[in-house]
Amino acid sequence: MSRLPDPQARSTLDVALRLLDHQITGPHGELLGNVDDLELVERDEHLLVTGLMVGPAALGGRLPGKLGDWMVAIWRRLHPEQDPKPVVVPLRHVTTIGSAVEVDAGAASALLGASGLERWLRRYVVARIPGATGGGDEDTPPAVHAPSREDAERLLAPRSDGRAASDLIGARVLGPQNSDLGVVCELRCSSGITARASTAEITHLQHTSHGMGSRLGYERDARQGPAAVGVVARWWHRHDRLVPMSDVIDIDWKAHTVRIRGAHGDHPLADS
Amino acid sequence: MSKLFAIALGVLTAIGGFVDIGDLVTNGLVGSRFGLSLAWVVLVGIVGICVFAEMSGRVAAVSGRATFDLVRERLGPRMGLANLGASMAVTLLTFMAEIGGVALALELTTNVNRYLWIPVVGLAVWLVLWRVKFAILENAFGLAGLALVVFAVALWKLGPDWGSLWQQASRPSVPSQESHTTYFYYAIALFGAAMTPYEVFFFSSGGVEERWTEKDLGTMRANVFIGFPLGGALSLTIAAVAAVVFLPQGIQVGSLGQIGLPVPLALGQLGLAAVLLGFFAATFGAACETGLSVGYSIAQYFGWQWGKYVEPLRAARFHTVVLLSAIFAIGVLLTTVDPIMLTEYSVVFSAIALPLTYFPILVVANDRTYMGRHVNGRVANALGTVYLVLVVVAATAAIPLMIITRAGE
Repeated sequence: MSRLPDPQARSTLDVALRLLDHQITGPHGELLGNVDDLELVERDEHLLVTGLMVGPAALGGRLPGKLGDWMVAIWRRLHPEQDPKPVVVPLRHVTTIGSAVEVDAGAASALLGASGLERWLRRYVVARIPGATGGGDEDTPPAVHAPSREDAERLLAPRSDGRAASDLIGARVLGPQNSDLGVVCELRCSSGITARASTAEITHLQHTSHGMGSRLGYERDARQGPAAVGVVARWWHRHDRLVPMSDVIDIDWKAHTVRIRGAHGDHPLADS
Repeated sequence: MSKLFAIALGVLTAIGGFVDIGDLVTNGLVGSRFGLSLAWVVLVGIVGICVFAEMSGRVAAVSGRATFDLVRERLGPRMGLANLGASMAVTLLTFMAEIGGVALALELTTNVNRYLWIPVVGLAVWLVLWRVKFAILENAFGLAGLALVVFAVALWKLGPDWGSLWQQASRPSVPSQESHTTYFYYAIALFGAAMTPYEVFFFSSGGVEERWTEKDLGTMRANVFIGFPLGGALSLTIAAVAAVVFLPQGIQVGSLGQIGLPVPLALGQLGLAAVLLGFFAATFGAACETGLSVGYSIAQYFGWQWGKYVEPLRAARFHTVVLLSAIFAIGVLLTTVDPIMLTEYSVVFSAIALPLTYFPILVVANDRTYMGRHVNGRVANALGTVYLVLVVVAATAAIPLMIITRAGE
C-alpha cells in the first residue's frame, strides 16, 4: 500500500508533514488508525521521536476546546480499564514511511486488539446482522494471531517520560529579550527514520508567524505547483525559519513556550 | 481483448453513473425555465469534474490514499474535522435526495405512494452496501443508467428547431421573464450538480477498492475523459428536451414525472419504460455511491478500516456508519420533506462545499514525494488553477444569491 516513488527525497523527515495524521497500515494493507500524535522523549539535551500515538486519547488533545475534552472523557468512560493509557506504537515497529506509515505484523495485531470501539461494534452490532462474514472482494489476509490483551498493552504502552509532539507544535517561540517569533510548525529529523530504529532525533524546529497552511509543503519544496498557489503559499510563509535544536535554550511543556538563542535561523528553502 | 472490454465497461458505467437526481432535476428545471441558455455552465462543470476526478484518481492510484486521508494530513485535525462536517452534511443531503428520487421513480412506476417506498428503498440500498460486491454495484447501475439515452432519442424524435436550440446554447442570454440573479443562481446549481463532491470521494475510494496502481492510470483516464463528458452530454439532452417541450408553454417543471414526461410523449410506452428504468438506476446507483461516500470519508478521517473489499466484520465501524446514515436518511425523508426540494438545495450546497476538498487534492497531486513522475503536468495545473478560482467564486457567490433569489423563486 505504501509506495515511495522518490526515495531520494527522504534524506530528512519533517514529522508534521510526513508522519502526523497519516494512515497507519499493516503488512497486508490493513487500515489500523491514523498517527494521531507522536511520542517524544527528552534525553541528555536531545529530543527524540519514540513512537506513534494512536486513538481518541491522542486525537482528543488536538481537537479544539470542549470537543477534544469530550472525546477524551468518552474514551475514558467507555474504556474497560480504571485508568486507561493512550496507545503508542514504538518507532522500532515502523517498517516503511510513504503515503502511509506501515508497521510490522506484531504491532498490527496489537493495534487490532487495542481498538475497543471496533471490537465492541463487531461483537454487538455487525456480527449480529446476517451476512457479516465473507463477501469481501479479495482473498482475506492471513488470520492474524490475536495477542492477549496483556501482550498488546505491553507492546503499546506509552513511556512514563513521554511527551506529545502536539504540545510542542503550536508552542510560542520566544527569541532574545522574549521577542515573539511565532509558533512551532514543524519538527525535522535530519537523518530520516531508518527501518527498525527505536528512536529518531529531532535536529531542527521550524517556526512560523502563520500556523495555517504550514502542512501544504510549499515552503519546503520550491518546485511544488501549481505556480500561482505556490507563490501565495511561499509568500505567506516567507518569515518561516528553521532553527537547529542546539539553539533551543529550553522547552516549557506546561506553558507551551520554546526559548531560542538568536533569531537567525534559515528559511526552510535556503539549503535547497 | 479483455482489457478493451474492461475499458469499454468502465466508460459505459461512467456515462450511466454520471447522472444522478441532482443532474436530472436541475437540468430539467433549468431547461424548462432558461432553455439552453445555461448549457455553457454544464460544459464548464464537465471539464471541472474531469480535472478534479482525474487528479484524485491519479493520487489514489499512485499513493493508495483516498480523499479524506489527504484532507486530514494536509489541513490537520481541526480544519479537517470542520471540512468533514461540512462535506458530510452535503453528502447526507444528497444521499436523502437520491433515496427520495428512487422512491419517486417507483411511485411513478407502481402508483404506490412514495412514503411506502422510502423505507423499502432505504433498506434495499443498505442491503446492497452490506452484501453486494463493489464491481457489481458499480457496473449494474451504471449500465442500467444508460437507459437515459432515451432522452437523446426523444429529442431527435420531437424534431425540434435545431437552429434555435443552437442559438440558445451558443449565444447565451437571460430569458426576458427571468432576472440576472436567478440566472446565476441556477448557473451555480448546475455547476454544483455536475461537480458534486461525493463523486470524487466515491471515485478515489473506489480506485482504492479496486486496487488501482500506476498501471491502471490509462483505464482511469479513459473513464474520466470519455465517460464523464458523455454522461454530461446525456444531462444536456435532458435540459434540451425540457427546453423544447416546456419552455414555449411557460411550464415550470417541479416533479420527476414532469421531467420524464416528454419521453413517452415522443416515444410512447417503450420510452416510458426506458425512462423509468433510467431514473431508477441512476438514483439507486447514486444512493449507493453517496451512502458509501459517507462511510468512506468518516473512516478515512479517523483512519478506520473501510471498504467493501474486506468482509463487513473487519470494518465494523465503517459499516455501522453506513447503517446509521441509511436509518437517518429514511427518518428525515419520512418527515414528508419534498425530495425535489432536497435535491435543489443539495446541488447548491455541493457547490459551496466543493473548495474544501478540491484544494487539498490539487496540493497533493503536486507533491513529488507522493506522486513522483505522476505529479500534475502543465495542463493539469493550468486547468487546476483556473478551476480553483472558479470553485471559490461559485462557493462564495452561492449563499448571497440564494438569499437574494429566495432559492431561485
